Amino acid sequence: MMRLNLTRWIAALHLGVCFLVSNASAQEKPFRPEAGKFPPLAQAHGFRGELTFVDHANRRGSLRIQGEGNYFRNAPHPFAMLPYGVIRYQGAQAGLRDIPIGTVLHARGFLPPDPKLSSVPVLPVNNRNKTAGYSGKGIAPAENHLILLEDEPSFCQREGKVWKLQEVELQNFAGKIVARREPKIGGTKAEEETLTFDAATRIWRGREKLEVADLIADGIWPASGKKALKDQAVLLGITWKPTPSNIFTRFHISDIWLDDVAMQRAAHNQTETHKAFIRTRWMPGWIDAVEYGKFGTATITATLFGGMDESLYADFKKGAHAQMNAVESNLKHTHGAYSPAHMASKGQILEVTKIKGEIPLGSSGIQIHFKTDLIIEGIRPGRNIRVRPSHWPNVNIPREEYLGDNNPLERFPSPAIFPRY
Amino acid sequence: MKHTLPLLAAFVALLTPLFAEDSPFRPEPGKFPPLEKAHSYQGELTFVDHTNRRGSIRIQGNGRFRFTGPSPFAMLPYGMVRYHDAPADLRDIPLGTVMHVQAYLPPDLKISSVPILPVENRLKKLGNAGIGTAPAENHVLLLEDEPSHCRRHGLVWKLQEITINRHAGFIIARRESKAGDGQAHEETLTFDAATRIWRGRERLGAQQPPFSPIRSGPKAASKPFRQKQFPSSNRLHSAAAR
Repeated sequence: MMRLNLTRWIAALHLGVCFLVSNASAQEKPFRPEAGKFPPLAQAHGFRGELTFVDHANRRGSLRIQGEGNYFRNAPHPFAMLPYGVIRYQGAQAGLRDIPIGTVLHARGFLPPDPKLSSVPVLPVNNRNKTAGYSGKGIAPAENHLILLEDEPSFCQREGKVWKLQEVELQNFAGKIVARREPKIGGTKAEEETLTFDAATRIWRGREKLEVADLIADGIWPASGKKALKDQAVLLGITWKPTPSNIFTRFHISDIWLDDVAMQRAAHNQTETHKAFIRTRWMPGWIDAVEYGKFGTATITATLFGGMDESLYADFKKGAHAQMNAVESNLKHTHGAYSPAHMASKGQILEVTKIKGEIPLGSSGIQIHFKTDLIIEGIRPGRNIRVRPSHWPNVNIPREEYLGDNNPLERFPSPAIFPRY
Repeated sequence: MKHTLPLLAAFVALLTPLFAEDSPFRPEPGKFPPLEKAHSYQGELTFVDHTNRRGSIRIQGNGRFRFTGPSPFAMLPYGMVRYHDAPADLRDIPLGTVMHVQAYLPPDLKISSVPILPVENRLKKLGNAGIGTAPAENHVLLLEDEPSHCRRHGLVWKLQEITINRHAGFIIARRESKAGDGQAHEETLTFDAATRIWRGRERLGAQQPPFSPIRSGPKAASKPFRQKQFPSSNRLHSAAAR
């Protein structure tokens, strides 16, 4: 009887230990996006840095990330956009090709969903906590698969913030601005930052593009010396330039939008650029479900990716004819030598539905139900697609934007192109 | 023997220029190469590695432009980049900009940072892309965008006709000397609602009338600017919507 009790106690203890250990390891298991699920933004790691390299055809590049140390020492850090990753520039949706090198961008990233297929170097999970010499901590996070990449005015507009200018100091058409980035209305006072500007800084007022010299000529800024700007609310475009006088981290103003009209016009121009791009490269999305019919027919449910202009989504209508192509995780078409339309599944949109509830970032919240008479390889649940309503232009895309020769390196671009510093 | 030496000398003298002509020109260290020895082409900037002063261009050949794979180039140490008619760096030029190029064979094959191609590669036909899309002359002395190219050569675009539908369409134009000398053929170019139009300090879109041409010289003024508009193009964005 005593032996039986002891055995029970040991078994119970063992179970308890197992439960504690499994719970702990579940907590330690790092979060990675899963196929077919938009990851919650709250789980993303946030950082910001200067765009230093772009491989737009493979939706990847490098950022010099701001850490705790001396900014100029930070080596460019590779990143890849997730297939549903959203890019915003000047308050509008964009492609990597639209963003000038040197632009400071805000990023939200995750660990690589599948390290084996990563097109950028895979780093140790805790890399963001490592100190790298004078660069300090935080300059090379392993969270290099981005769901959101946005420039300063896009970031400010999404967060309802503006830059409130405190003081300008000028000499020879260049100088410093002291400003605070804080909520447009109310909120707590943010810390003051000093930023530089120069004769190349673009100043936007309504439809006008001005220079520092114009503001001086109009008597708005002094030719030299200081002027208090009394919380003047503006939006700023930010870059980085090496700074003299042993100042290791100071950012530079590339653009100042003085009023709402100026910002709206910039956003409008970028929106039109991106709309033309998506109409020729097709709307990206992924497959939720496939119901196979007879002789190659199938009914496909697909979710369209988010972040596009509403007018593009409005083109997906019940009864409209469309074409659907399989694409890789970098959204490259798998066929293209005779245009992406050549091999695409053709059919009709049976229904367009809106997903109820909160729409996660990356998703449009719009599902299309598409019937095709011949489903092509690659259109499978969890895989990425591009889809085109038939009234969008049927164009040929350039060679680097589609897979051509069954070359595995084309399909899975190697991280080897990124130099190791 | 008395006649052999002069004969041999004459033979060598005849052969030397032939070999000299066969030896392709390459820039030499310490000498700026003459521009007239450069090979010229134009193409779309598709990739930039600005820290190493190199990139890729989709070069216009005699075939179909979209079949043309990007062709790598490297700037010579003294190579110049010009953008908006001003000195620039590769980082300043937006991807997609069509550039005019003047380039040479690699000065030193061993240390070229871009692929080395056969010397006659510019004459090779590469499938549907055609001839001229991947010249071996990929070490660039001058890389300039369209307005820089036009200003350097004293050229302007003279707009002939515009066709607009929903803020997008075609422009027929000729790139020719300001004074209108010489022969130029008409080209058709597209534009859309994202095309930026500059007037003084204003940045306009195709929505803002009038879509006025660059007036240059009495000859240009005598040629009226033709404008076609579909009725739907009258639908303008309000200032608030922009």
